[in-house]
Amino acid sequence: MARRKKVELPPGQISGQAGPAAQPSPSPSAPSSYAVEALELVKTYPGKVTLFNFSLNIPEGGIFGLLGPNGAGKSTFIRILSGLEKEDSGAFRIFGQRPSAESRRRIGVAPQENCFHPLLTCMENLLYYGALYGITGKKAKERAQELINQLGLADKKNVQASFMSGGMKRRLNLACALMHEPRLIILDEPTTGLDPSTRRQLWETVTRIAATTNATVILTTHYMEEAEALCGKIAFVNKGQVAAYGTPRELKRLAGRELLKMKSVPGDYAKLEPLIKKLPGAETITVTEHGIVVEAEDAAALVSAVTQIFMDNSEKIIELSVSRPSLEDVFLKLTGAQLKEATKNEAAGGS
Amino acid sequence: MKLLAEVEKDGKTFLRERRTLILLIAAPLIVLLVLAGVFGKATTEKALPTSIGLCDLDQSEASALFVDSVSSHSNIIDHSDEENCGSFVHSQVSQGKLSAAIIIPKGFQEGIADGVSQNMTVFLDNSRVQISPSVEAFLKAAAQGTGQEIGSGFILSVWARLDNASAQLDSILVDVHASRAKALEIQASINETYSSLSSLDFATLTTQLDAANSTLDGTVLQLQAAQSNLTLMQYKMESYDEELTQTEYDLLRMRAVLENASGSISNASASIDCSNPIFIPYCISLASMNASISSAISDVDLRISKINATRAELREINSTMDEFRANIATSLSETEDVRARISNMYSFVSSLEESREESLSTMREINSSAAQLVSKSDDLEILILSSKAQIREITSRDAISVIAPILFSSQNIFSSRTFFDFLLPSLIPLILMFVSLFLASTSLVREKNSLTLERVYVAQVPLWEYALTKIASYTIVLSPEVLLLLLTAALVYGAFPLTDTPLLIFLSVALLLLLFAFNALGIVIAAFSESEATAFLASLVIGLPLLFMSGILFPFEFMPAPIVLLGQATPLTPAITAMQSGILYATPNFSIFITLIIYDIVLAVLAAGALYATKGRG
Repeated sequence: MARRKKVELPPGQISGQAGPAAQPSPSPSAPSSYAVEALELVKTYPGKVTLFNFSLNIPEGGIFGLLGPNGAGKSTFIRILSGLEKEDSGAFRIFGQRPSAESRRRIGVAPQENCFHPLLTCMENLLYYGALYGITGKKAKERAQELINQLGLADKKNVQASFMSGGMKRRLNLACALMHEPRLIILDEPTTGLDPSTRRQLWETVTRIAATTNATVILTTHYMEEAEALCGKIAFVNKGQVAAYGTPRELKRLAGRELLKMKSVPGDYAKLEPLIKKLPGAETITVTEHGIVVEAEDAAALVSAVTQIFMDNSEKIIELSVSRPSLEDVFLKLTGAQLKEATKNEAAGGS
Repeated sequence: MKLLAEVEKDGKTFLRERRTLILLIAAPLIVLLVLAGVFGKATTEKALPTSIGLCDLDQSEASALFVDSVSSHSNIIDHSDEENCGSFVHSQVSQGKLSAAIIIPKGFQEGIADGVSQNMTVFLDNSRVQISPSVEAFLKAAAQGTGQEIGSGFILSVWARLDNASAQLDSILVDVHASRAKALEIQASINETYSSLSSLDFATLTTQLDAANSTLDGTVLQLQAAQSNLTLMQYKMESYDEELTQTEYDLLRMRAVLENASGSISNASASIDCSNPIFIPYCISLASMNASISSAISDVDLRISKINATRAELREINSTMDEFRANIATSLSETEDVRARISNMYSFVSSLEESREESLSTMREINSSAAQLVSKSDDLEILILSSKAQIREITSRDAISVIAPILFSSQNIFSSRTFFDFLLPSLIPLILMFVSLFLASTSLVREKNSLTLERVYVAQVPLWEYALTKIASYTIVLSPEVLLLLLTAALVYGAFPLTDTPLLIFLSVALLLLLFAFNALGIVIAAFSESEATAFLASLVIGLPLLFMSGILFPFEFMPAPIVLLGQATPLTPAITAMQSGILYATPNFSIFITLIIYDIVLAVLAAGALYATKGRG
């Protein structure tokens, strides 16, 4: 068993630097505006370090994304938060409070797998999970009905969970986590295995919940578009550490500028290069045998000017593209591997 | 956490799952039904005959008697004709073709007749654990029965011998009487002889012998004096004879001188011519001288002749004296003999006196012995009479009562009951044990694997509270099962009257406490099981030994002491005891509840501990 290292965490302040993007560091005197503050969390399993000096501040309110391949440590972090695992060392706070049964009862977790009783109906499941938090009787029924309505489960209210579709099951899974009106909702890869349409529906639901409640939502996913679409802030987690942290835009900047790629015939790029270089906004120009690549903060703005230069020099454009860096590119830059590949590899390694 | 919510959830889950329903309702009833069929035979009914091999090497009446006794309860297959039938029947038993085999040794009957206990070899197939003890028991009973029959015959012959001995004691008694009379006679005779011997006067005899001895001494002295006198006389006669001899010598010299003188005269006359008358005077003088000499010679011859006669007489006298001396010597010798005889007489008298004392002592001893003989005869008579009375007492007994003084008269208290009736109080807890173990362990594993358990953990429900709620929930969910089994036992199998409400409550509480314990154990199993299959197997692995250690299949008496302790230290055993006390013996043992409650508490703590220990896994 790993020896626990005691780390003291000042209230409302995180002292560590989690990744390339600087994390917000509120002043010591300011009240905590973080739903979760984690400092140098370490969690090891026999032969495997899952979290290593994991430090992260999750601001209160909104949807916070935790991105990373399988095995990066996202689920372990969530399990530690929710009390299912005990950290080996490090410290964390939930809404400024030390972890305790009371502070953890503010958390609602919707695990990656559907965690409800398949032989019970929607209503029965919700009432049961309400009872776990002491919500019973009329209050429980009202809250369950409210969630059923809110999550579009009204038709399935008295249907056994096992007979419901995958999307409905995910909603029920989410509803079960919301039954006790948690301040911190953890959605662990909520759309995994769902078709795009259902996934979109669930995104809407999550967005609506985040909007209608004052709860903080932590969303773990390895879908970049999901994180980009839903999350106000994102932390990249890789190999048990926070690799990057920030808004999607901030993170994408880490991957580099936008690229304008053009290919032409006859392709006298050596003649074109100095002309393009003179254009305002064009930062770097790279000539290859396949064409010319212009790097700029706003590549789209350069398209007309560059096209004009090509035409002025009797170059017939055969290919033109503007590419913006995605979160995938950020991940690529940070880790040197594609997120999906990493996920596949991790999954293969794990299996 | 609300118990009601957990009960509702578990109840609905079980009811909506066919497998669980079957496990809860159908399976126990089917088990009861099947076991009722299997064990439905009344305990008073005889079992089917078992196959027993026989190798009778004796082929005697005694062996036939035993075989007849055995064959009344079993199917005897005689393999006596097989070569090396002992090995053959052994192999048949070891191959499971026979339940048992008996080898009756050669000389079986002879041995019994000689009073040597006979050892029959019995091979038992003890793999047939239920049959083997019965077979052994009835073989022993058969051996005992045969032994009794043989023994009673022997006892009867002993009785006859004792009667004969009693008759012989009568004749001995007559002899004893005769001996006693003889002893009295001897005593009288000895007394008479004793007084006779006592009257003998040895002093007079000794005095007379002393007198004779004295007389003999006088005689010897006289003879010795006579002998001295004779000696003296013979000496004197020898002197006289010497004198006569000297005289004769002197006479002979005189005669010779005379003859010489006569011769000289004759010579002188012859030289003188006496015709000449000168010489005639001379010659006449010579002639007269010569005649005087011749007369002197004749006189001397006469004298010599007289001397010779005297000497002859002296010799004769001497001879007579020698004879006399010899007679005296003989007499002296005889006196010595007489003296020796007197001395002998002394010895004889002395020894006679000693003999008399010895005889008197011997007679006293004989008298004492005779008195003892009389006394002993009296004792012997009493002893004989007592022995006869004892023999009468012994022989008046029934031979069977001697061979088998204690007869076994068993009476089944529950004569009308079947094996199933006895098994039912154990079966119900057993079924509930397995149902609760399987149900609790597999259900919780399912919750664990479907991560619904994690939601409970996330909800920060204290583990002890959850464990307790879960155990209670399963117990409540299974409580209809308790009722179902008890109703089936009461209504279908008539195990107890349903109208006996206190008993029904007692049984229900006992079973609910049992359910609580095994639900807790099921949660412990589930906590450490990865899958339902593992939980199921683990429940079996735990449940089966508990079944075998509970005394249902094998009595505790057959188990090693540590296993008995282990068996009694499980919740199943006290629950069975409670059920038996209520159903079988109609004396509900409420104190067992304390044991069951202790198990419930311990196992509930273990269940909470197991959940705590395995919380972080996976």
